[in-house]
Amino acid sequence: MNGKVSRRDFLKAGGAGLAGVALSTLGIGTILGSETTAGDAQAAPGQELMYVCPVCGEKAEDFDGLRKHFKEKHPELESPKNMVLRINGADVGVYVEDHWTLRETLLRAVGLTGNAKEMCDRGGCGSCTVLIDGKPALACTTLAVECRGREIETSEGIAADPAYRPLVEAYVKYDASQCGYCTPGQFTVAKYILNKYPDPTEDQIRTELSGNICRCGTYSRHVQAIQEAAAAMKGGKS
Amino acid sequence: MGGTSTWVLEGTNDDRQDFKVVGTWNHPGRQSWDMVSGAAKYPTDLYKEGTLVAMALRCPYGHAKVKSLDISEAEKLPGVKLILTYEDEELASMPINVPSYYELGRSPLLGDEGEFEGDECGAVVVGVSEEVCRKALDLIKVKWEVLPFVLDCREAGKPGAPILRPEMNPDSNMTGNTFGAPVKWEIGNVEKGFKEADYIEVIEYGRPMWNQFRPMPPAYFSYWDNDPWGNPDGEKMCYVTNHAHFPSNGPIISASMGMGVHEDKVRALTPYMAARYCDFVEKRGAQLAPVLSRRLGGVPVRCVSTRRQAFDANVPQTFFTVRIGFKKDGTLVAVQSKNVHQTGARGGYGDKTHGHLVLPANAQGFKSTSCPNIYSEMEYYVTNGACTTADPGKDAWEPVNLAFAKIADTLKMDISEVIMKNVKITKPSLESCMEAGKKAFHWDSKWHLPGTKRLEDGRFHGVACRSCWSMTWGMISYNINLRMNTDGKIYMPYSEALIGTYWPDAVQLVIAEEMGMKLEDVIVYYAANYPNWQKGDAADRGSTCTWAAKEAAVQLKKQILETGASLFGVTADEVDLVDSMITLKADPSKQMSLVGIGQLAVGYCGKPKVPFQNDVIRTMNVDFCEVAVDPETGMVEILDYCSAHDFGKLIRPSSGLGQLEMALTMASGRALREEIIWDPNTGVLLNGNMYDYKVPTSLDQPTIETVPVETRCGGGAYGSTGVAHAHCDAGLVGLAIQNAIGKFIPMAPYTPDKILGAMGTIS
Ligand code: FES
Ligand code: FES
Repeated sequence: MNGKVSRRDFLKAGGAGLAGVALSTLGIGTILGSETTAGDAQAAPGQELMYVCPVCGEKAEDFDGLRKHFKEKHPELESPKNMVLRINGADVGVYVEDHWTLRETLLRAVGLTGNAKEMCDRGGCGSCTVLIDGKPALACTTLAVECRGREIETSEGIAADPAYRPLVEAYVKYDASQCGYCTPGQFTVAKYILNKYPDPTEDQIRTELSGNICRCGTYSRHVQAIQEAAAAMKGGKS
Repeated sequence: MGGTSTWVLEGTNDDRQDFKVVGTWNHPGRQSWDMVSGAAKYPTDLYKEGTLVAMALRCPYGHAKVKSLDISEAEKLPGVKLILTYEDEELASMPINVPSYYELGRSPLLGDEGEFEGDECGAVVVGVSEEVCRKALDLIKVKWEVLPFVLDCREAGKPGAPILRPEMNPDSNMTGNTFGAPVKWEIGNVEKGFKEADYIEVIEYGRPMWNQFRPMPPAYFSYWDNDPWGNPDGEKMCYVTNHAHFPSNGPIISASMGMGVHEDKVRALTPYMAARYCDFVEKRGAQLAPVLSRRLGGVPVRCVSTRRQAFDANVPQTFFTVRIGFKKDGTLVAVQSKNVHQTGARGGYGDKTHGHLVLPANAQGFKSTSCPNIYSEMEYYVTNGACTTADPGKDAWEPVNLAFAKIADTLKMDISEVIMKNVKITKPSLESCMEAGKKAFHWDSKWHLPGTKRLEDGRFHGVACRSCWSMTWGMISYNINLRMNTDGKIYMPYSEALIGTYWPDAVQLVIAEEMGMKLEDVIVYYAANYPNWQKGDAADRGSTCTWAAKEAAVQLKKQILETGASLFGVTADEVDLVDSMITLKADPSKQMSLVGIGQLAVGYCGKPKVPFQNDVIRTMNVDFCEVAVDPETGMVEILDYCSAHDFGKLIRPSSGLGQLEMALTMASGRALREEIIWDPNTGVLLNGNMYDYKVPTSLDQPTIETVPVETRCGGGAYGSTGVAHAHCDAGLVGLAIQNAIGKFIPMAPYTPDKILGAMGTIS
C-alpha cells in the first residue's frame, strides 16, 4: 500500500459530516462553530498527507517518491517509514519516522490536532491524551511506531460519534473549556470515564482527570458535564 | 468607613429591570464546539505545506554576553534554511516602534546579551524541523563572557550590587516607572498619624517570582502571501498568529510595530491563542516569525518555545514592609509603606518586542481605606531572573488585607469587622458582598481567635476573609459594528483571539436583550482584522465592551423599527421587536419578519465614564478561605473557598462564575506551591517543568463556592463589572493559616517548611 487513503474513505469510516471537507488547509474554516456544524468535527485528517523530506524539506509526490529522494539525496541516512495507523476507525497511511511521537505524527502527518496539543512535552499535563485500545495514553510520550495495529481515538473522532453527542452537548453547556487548550485531552479522558463508570462520582472523575492540567481551572465543569452526559447516555457505553 | 457610592447608571437602558436572556444559563459559546472537539486550531496546530521551524539560541548562564559566534558548521547542516545573528542589520534595527506607554526605552529584538538563563540572544535558526534546529543550535560555536548576575531585587538594590543595565541607569539597578508615577508620595501627615495611634505594628509581605503558566507555550506562525483583497502596491500581506495581545490585535500590533509597517499589511490568522491571564508579554517570536518568513520568500515559519523556555517570563517578586498605626477600636490612622519590586531582566513588563512597562504594587490599595495618613515609597530593580509580566491578581490589596489581619490579631477582633471599619466606601457593594459571603461561608460559626481551634484529626483550623476591588477597565473605547442582514439576523464581527472569558457570548446576550431578538438570531463571529480596534479581549474589559454593544443595539433597533413601521404604515412608536419579529403593539398577533426587509447597520465607538484606575472602586468583592494545617507535616489543605463578588450585573453566569473558579484555583496554586527557583550559584532555573513547577490539578482544586452579588454599580452594561483580576492573590490563604497557627508567614507560597518554621518545629 502506498499510504494514500482517500478523504472520502476517512469520512465514511469516521462517521463525520461534511462540515470538515471545505476547510482551508489551515483548518481554521470551522471557526464559525455552531451546534449544527462544528460539533461534527472532522474525525479524519484535515489536510492532505504530506510527504516532505524531514532532512532538507523537499516535497515528494507520494511515499515512493520520498524513498527515492532519500536514496538519492541522503544515502547515508535510514530510509523513512510508512505505516498504517488506525485512527478513529479508519486506516490512515502515514509517513512516520522511528523517533516520531504519536503527537508529532498527528500534527505533522495526519492533521488531527485536537490531541496534538503540547503543554508540557514530557507526560506531565495530559493535553495530548488520546485513547489507545480504549485507554488514555499520552501522545507525547508514545512513539507512533508503537501504535501499529492498535485502535487510536482522538477528540475529533469522539465528537463525531453520535453516541457521544450528549458528552459534547454537556461540555459546551457548562463552558468546560475556557481557553480550550487542554479541553480535547480532558474530553478524550471523559469518554474513558463514561465507559469505565456508568454513574461516575465526583471523586472518580477528579481522580481520572488528575493527569490533565487545566490552568484555567475548569475542573469542576468537567465533573458537571461528565455526570450530566452519563445520565443522558444511561451508563455511557457506546 | 461606611461611605456610600453614588453611581448613576449611564447610557440607554442601563437601569433595565426586565431581563429575558441576560443572566440566564445554558448558552454554549460560539466557539465552544470547536474547542471541545479539537477542530479549533491554535498557533501550535497550524501546519501548512513547507512549514519551517525557527528556534533561537538561549543563554546558558545567569547573565552573559556573546563574545563571538561561529555559525559556519551549523549552516552546513542539511535542512537548515537560514541563520541570522544579532549582527544582522534588520534584526538589529528592530523593534522599529514600541507603544508610547512603554516609556523606559527598548532593547534590540535579538541582542548579544543574555540577560538571564534561557534568554534568547545571539542567533536564530530556521530549519525544516525542530530536530534540525536543535542540532544546528548545538553546532553554533559561541564564546560567552560570563557576567555577574542578581536574582533577588532586594540584593539588586544594595550598594555594591553589579549594575546590570548601565545604559538604562549607570548608577544603580533602579529603573524608571511607567506613567511617571511618583516614587514617593504622602497623603496627610504620617508622623502625626503615628503619634495619634494607640498601637504601632509592622507587617511584612513577600512573594517570589511565579509563572502564570499559560497553557500553550509561545508559538508564532507566520507567512506572507498575496493580499486576497488586492494591494495597490503589489506587496504581500503578512499573516501571523497571536499569543498575548495587549493591546488587542496583538499579532498585528507586534508585527507591524516590530517591522515598522502599517497595520493593513498584517492579518491575524486564528481566533485561538490559548489563555492569557493579564500577561503583557508578547514574545520575540511575534516579530521574528514574520521577518524570518519574509527573508525566505514568505514560506510559513513557526517560532517555537519549549515549556521550559516558556518560563522566560514570570510575575515579578515584590516585597512590602509596612508600619501601621491604629486606634483601640481598630481604625487605621497611619500607614508607612515601602515596596521593593522586581522589574525583571528588561527593566519592566514586556519582552523586547514591546519595550518596558513598570507598574509596582505600591501602597495604592491603602487609598481605598479611610486612613488619612499614608506614606508610600517604592524601589524597583532590574534583576537577571527572566523578564516580568503583569500580575493577574490585585497585589496592591495584599498589604491592605494583611494590615487588617494584624489589627484583628492585635485587638482580638474579627477581621471582617476590621475590613468594614476601615474601607472607605462600604455601601452598597462591600456591605452586600460581606453579608452574602459570610452567610454562604457560615463565617459566624467558623471564625475564632487565632490558634484556638483544632479539628478532630488534630490539625489546626483557620479561616480568614479579605476584600478587594472588582474592577471595570474603561480606559479604552470599544468599537461595535452591528448589521442586520437580508436574512433578518443581526451580525457582530469581532477580531480578537479568545482567552477564555466568553466576552463575545456575553455581548450576544446583551444585543439580543436590547433588540428583542431571539438569541439564535444574533450572530457574533470572528472576522480577523474586521474592526481593527478594541473589543472585550482582556478579562475585565469585557464588561465595558458590553456597554458599547448595548448602545449599538439600541441604535440598530431604532432603525429597524423605523423601517418596520413604514412597512406597517404606522409610526415607529407603534411597533416593537419581539422574538425577532416586528410586532404591532396594539395587536401583537400582527407581526412581520425581518427577513428581506433590507440591510441596516450601525457603528458605535465609545466608552462609559469609567476611569482607568481610581483610588476608590465602587464595586468590591470579599473572598473567604478555610484551611486545615497539619502541625506534624506543615501541610495545608484548603477546605473551603468562597467568593462573594459584586458583578454589578451578572450577564453570562456560566462564564462569569467560571472566571472566579479560574482565579481562585490559580490563587490556591500560588498560595501553596508556585514559585520560580533558580540555582543561586549559577543563575540557572531549577524548576522549569511541570513536575517541579506544580500548578493545581483536579485533585488540588479546592471546593469553590461562588456567590454573585449584583449592585448595578459597575461601568459595563446594566452596571456590570470585571471579574478575574480581583481574586488571583495568594495572601488570603496566608491569613487563614495565621488564624490556624497564630503566626504570620511573611513570604508566599506557604510551604510546609515555612509553616513548620513559623510554628517553631524546625529552625
Ligand atoms: S504534552 Fe503530553 S503530557 Fe504534556
Ligand atoms: S481551558 Fe485553558 S487550560 Fe484548560
